[in-house]
Amino acid sequence: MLNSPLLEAKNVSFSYGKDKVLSDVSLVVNRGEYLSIVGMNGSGKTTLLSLLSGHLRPDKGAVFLNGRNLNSISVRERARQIALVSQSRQMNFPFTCLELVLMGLHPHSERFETVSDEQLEKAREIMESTDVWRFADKPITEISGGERQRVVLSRALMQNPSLLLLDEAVSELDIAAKISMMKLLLQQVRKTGMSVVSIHHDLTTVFRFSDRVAALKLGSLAENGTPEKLMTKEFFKDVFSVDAEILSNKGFIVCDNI
Amino acid sequence: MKDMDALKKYKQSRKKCFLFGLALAAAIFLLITYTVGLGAMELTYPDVLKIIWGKISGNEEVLYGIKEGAIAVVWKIRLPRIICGAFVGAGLATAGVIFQSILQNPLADPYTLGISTGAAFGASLAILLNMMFGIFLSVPVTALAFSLLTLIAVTAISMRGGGLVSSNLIIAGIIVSAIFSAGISFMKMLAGEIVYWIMGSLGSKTWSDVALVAPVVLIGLAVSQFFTSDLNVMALGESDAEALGVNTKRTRFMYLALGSCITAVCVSVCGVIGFIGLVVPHLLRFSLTSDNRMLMPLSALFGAFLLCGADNVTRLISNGEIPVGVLTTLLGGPFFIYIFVRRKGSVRAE
Repeated sequence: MLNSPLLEAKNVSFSYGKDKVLSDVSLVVNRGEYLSIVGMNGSGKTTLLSLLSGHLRPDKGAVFLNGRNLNSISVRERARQIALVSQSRQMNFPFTCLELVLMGLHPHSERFETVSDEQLEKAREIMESTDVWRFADKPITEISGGERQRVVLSRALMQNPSLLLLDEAVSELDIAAKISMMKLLLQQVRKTGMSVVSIHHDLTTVFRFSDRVAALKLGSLAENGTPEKLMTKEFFKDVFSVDAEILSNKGFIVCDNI
Repeated sequence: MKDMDALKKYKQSRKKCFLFGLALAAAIFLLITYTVGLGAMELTYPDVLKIIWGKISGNEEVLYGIKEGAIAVVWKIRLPRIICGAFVGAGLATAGVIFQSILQNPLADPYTLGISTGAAFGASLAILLNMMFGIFLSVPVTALAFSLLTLIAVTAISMRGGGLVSSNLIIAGIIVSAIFSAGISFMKMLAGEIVYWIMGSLGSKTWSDVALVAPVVLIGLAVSQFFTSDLNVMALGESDAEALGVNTKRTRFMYLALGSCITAVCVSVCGVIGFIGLVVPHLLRFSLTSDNRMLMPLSALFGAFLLCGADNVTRLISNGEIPVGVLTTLLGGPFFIYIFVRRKGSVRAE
């Protein structure tokens, strides 16, 4: 089943009023792969992610989850399969970190269902793996931005999705936390067959951890392929308008030519 | 050891909330039954219990030996006022929890959307028209009608302005509220009686007021409680709530309608009573829990206790001359500044 399509966007276009943000984008997300979406600011990455999550409906084209049009699936059923970690993570209410992580059970729970000991144990395991268990009983309003990102990621893992959509979800983490979080996500992808679609600005992370990279330019899909094949000098020039020096199989150095 | 602590604390916090709820329910019962005997005509606690039991059970024999006047004072004057206060306090606090979560703003309250100003305008209009034309337009019904009209206006403006999101709703609430406030000021100039009503008072409430406010508050609380897990998720913001399986548009509209109806009925019965809806949920959230499944019923109980207590203070100290709305705002305001400043110190800066 791995490498078979889980989610498929077919010729999707989207506009905010008269402002066309995405035009005719087609993209396949396979089971058990880590797909990174890159592109300059305003290239339509977040809008594409919102379309893939079902939060926005395309003006043209359609998104299919396991062959079913996303629009025909109820919000609740969708949430059982797709988890989203969005950019806005402002928290106004002092839920404890554990309470917040347990909210990941919401799409799977019946009304008035209490949290079982097994579910609490699962929350503990996830929070330990993301290194947030040590402040499980602390209010979410009292921890740092990076710690909060890890708590929200833990909630998304608690949701037990087959597809995890991340919008710059590791951007506020320090380098050590970022590497350990990416390793954890990749481990989940390999172990459970979960798919991840993630927006990144850090191209080193993209190069090192992605199975595949999709690049957006002015609302259209410019490039799509494995990082080794895709991230060439031409790619940097075309998508980001910068010169880069490629170090064979080790990464790249972006030259300061702006 | 630390592992056990967090799981234990989670379970213990549920137990703590439950026990606090039980204690509050007992405290409300004691407060009502004890203070109903206090006033110009003082009664013993056993006599008060006998009157209440006799009237509820219909067993008039237990009233033997108690003066008719005392029975009338307790059953017809004091008890409806106190019970009405308890329901209004519960209603305003419930509406506070709803509006704070739906608007994702811990400083919102039942009056943020201008619902109360709409109700106050309706009531003022009824009072004025009754005086000018000698008619008998019902003050609560007119207040209720105008508060619902306010809700329709606020949601319509918000939809036209880009959708039912919290920032649009708050802005629309400010606009509508400002227009009604100007109308109220004009009517105050024409009829001084309006001033006292607007200040918020539980004086001379009858069983028919209880019959109006109690079902709305109880049904509103029950429906709100049924969907509280959705309300928890709504407090995280629209995109997170939808990603967790909540139909955000439907949930927001349902809670707005519920919160507005509860507020409208409370305001239509006893005027504008400030700060209960703001302070009660806020205080419990920062001292006990943010989980609306527990916060909602606890706020209702604490709101009932607080307004009952405050009304008894105005009733017994000033002989009912100070409207309870003035007292709640006078005490609630500085208290709110205190908890706000204290809370700010504990919220981490980005």
